Amino acid sequence: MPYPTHLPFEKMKTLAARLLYLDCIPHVPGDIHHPGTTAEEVAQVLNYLHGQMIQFTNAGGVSPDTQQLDKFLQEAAQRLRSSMDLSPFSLGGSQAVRHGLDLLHDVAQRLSCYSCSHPSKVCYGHPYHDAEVVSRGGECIKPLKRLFEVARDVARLYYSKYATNCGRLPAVEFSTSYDSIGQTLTVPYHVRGETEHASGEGNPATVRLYLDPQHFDRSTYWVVPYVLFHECICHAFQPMKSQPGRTAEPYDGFSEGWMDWVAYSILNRLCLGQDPGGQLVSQMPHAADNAREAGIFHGARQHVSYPLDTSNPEAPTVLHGVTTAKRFFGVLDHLPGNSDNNWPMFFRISFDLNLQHEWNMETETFFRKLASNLADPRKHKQIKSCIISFLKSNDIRSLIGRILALPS
Amino acid sequence: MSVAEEYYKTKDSTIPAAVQRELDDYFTKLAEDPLYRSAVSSAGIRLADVEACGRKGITLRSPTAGIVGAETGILVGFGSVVLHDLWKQVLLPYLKWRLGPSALRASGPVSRKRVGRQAKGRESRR
Repeated sequence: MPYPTHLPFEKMKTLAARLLYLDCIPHVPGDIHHPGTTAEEVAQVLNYLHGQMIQFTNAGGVSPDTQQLDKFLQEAAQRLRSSMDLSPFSLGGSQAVRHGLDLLHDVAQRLSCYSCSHPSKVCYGHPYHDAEVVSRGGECIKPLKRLFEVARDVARLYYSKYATNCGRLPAVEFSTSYDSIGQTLTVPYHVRGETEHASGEGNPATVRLYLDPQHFDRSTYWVVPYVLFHECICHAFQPMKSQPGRTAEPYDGFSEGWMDWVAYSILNRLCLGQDPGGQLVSQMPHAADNAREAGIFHGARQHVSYPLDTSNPEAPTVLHGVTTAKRFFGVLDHLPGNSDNNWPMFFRISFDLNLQHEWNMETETFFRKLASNLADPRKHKQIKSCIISFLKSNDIRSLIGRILALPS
Repeated sequence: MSVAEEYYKTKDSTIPAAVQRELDDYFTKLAEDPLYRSAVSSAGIRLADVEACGRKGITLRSPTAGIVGAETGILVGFGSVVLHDLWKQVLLPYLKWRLGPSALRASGPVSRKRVGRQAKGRESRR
């Protein structure tokens, strides 16, 4: 099987440089304290530095494929540091960001393309050759790979712990692709995700991040975990996705709404250090920012405006799925064996439904019927009895069957 | 003369020039890089046939308004069947990798023209 593809080389250089900058240079002037320097002065310096960074990290047209990525980063780091020496700012203002620039410079100096992958190969612009190097090593985009590994491991951990019988979950691989992503929603994120399932049982799923490195900014970086959690928790283990000719849309309220709320909730809980996977938060250096941006993106995806916003056509479907999930979560209150915590049971039922091998007319009808019954509080008692029955049988098909048998 | 022609909607007006540039670059790499050459062979395409036709066998032009209206697009012409095969199996995936999947979108009614038996017949007479 070929390695998952990754960004074209010059775009990978730009992305790597952006990641380095975003990880090393603080962004909030108030976080930088330097004697005799005001927050306003620091803000001016950061603003200037940001402009320089955009100029120096853009590899397109200036860095030929013959220039190694490590050399490009080292050059960019050097130029960035020199630009600060020549800047018109006060000594205090420049000194305030000096630590970040030194750190960036040191990290860039330590990076070596020759020690990235084994066997030692260096990227040079070839799609398959570079894909192998980045898949095996990928030191240059390590922060993104680490976030993917957290999302994948958390998804695996949650499914293994909560799903009734998740069996052997398929491997999940990471891929990056270029796309010029405009602001499709009302939020300024230049990233989207996609999960591809190779045909055949047991074949790995590939989670692909579509990025436009030239627009890869701080808020885009921070929202990446939400996109990855969505792909890994909602889609990576869905057997139905591997079926050819999957075109029906109605049940996407479940995938894109209900399961998205599950993914978002798990990410939030992780950032708060709750539940299994909580220890993985140490791998997310910007956890609080990740949680905040996730909330904004998650909200924007289900924001239905009137007249309908053509740039966000999925919003009604997503909103419907999220609302249904939240109502279902509420119905779990005071169920036998549920103590004070609805989450374990909610995760279990969500994962069992998501692992269904078939989403057909019957299961679509199930989801519609569940949603319409949940919308009517008088019918919650009947839904509770269906859930109790499921808890006895441990068979998600019995829950589906019982919901289908409810009067409309 | 083209033995086949395909029409693609493009994401914006910068794409046709970018496609031109990427094709030039691809054929340069094909001449120099064994990995590029083996990718062509792996696709079941005879490298010698591709080299015999060369880069000039693929032409790009803007569609006339009468055919497709005012939208941004590009008509790709192929001087031989082997170049058309190369396009479908190697070049189009390569261009989508380089420029993004939404950069070129195959269009409906005028997307294929004179492809198939007739086209092969024409080539065999050359």
